[in-house]
Amino acid sequence: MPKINLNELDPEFKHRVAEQPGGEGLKACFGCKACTAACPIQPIDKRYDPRKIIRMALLGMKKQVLESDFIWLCSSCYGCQEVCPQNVRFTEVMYAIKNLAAQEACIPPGLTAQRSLLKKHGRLYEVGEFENEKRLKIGLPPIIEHAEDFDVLLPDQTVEKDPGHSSTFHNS
Amino acid sequence: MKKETLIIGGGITGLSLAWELSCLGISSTIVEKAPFMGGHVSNFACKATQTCQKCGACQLEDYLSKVHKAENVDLMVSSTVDSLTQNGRDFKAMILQRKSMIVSDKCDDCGLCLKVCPVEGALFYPAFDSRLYISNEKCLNSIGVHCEICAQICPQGAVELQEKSREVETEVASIAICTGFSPYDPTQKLKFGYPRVPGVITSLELDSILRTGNFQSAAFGETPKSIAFIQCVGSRDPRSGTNYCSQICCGVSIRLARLIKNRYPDINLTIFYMDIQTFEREFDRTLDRAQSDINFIRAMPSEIHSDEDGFPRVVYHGGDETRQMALFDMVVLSVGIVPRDPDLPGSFPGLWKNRDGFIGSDDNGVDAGHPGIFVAGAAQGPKSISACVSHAILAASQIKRYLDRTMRGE
Repeated sequence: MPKINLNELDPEFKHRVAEQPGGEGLKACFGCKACTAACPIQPIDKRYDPRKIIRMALLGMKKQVLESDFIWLCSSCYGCQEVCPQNVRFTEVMYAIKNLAAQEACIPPGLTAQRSLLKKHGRLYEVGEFENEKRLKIGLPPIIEHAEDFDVLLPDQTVEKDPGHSSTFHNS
Repeated sequence: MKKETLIIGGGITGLSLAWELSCLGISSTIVEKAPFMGGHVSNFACKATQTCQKCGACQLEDYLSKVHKAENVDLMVSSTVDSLTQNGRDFKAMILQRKSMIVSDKCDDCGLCLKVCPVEGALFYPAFDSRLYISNEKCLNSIGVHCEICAQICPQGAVELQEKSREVETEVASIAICTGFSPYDPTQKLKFGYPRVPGVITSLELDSILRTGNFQSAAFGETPKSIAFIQCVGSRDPRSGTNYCSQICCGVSIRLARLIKNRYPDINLTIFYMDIQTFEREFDRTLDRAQSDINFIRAMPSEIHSDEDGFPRVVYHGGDETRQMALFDMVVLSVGIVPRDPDLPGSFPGLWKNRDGFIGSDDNGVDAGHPGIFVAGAAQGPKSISACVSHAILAASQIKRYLDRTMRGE
């Protein structure tokens, strides 16, 4: 079992997660493992263990949680939420954690690429002449990209760290 | 004749309260809805192995025989309180009694009435008795539907149906609510498969199987080889509205498991738990002894489903960080205590319910908030059998005090 360095823990982290919309239930966890037993991801990737993620968040292992790539593995199936007796609403907690990770600029490269595709084309992949010609042949209307809508939603900015909360983040 | 106290509910609390009051010279009437006294405890097995396990189930018979002998206690089975009104300092109660019954001397147990009865559960065998009883709550006559199929088919003429309720009006100086609890309904937990998956039963059902005798005699068929207990089903569960510990289930499951181990040493026993909560004196010693022959797994299963052969399969997260699917012959859901709606007739504005839905009480634990109305036992909050008895003793002392005060005209 890897050792945890207490000096690197952030005692405020659990409060920050609980402040986020959806993160309220975090502190109610009993650690009963029902969520882990219901999760479809956990048998595939052992690192994604709902109970452990909650425990890490409660301990204040901010760096290990936010910088990890496993928090992005959640399939949002709500299976954990369904079995949880304490109403932790773990899928929502996961969204809260991911939002915090985005604030701290800890987004994995795949998601950044998806964002720029969305901004450029209004969808997650480019629809070119080739696809539209094929659609025309089978009598479907062409797809028009409404990239301008997403331009408003995703303004041009590099995702910056929130200066108010980042002091302990990159020092270690 | 006027009685001093009306006790609503003839379970362990009501009976022990009646006895304590009788010792203090206070007369009482117990009104019990079921056709027999005893409530839930009458279905519980004695859980002694070689030594007494202090489950408290035997206290019921003790109190029953004492109360039967007591002169100033009236027992009214198959009765409900229809209305309650304040009358000066006293209360006027209208009790409805409808005593449909099967005369045990005539009944030869042919089972014809059971076959023809249109309502399931209206005729039933309680765990403590081999005689048939008629449930006055479920019998069609109770909702005003005329039905005498059982009486017509009975070759012995043993069924005595009473269509009209007998009305008894009585005046009492104080009221004790001892309506007890309801078991949590596990059908709310769809993932645990009750009653869809064969072999999944509740702890109350297991208790009455063990009370009746053994597994063969129960509808279950043969003796199981492995049994799993799942704790905290409907306890500490805000999603089910039960955000409190039921206090008894850990003790019940461990005692049941040890009783089974004692009777059938070959059965493998597993207990799935979140954490064991102990509310009893010296419970840690019971736990230590149990840990030697029972497998304790700290994990809540996410699902119970039926395998190809129709046995319950429990899905849980094992200690080695892998998902486990374990097959058992029987899975026992250790259901919690939920408040029973006492539907107290009449309006008394002082009465209130606490956060969890149990009847609220003052600091002394038994005053229900209206002068002369008291609450005792599991109606006030989750309690074990012995806790119910001690609560009843406390209630008896407070009722005595109240009656003395009103007698003096304070």
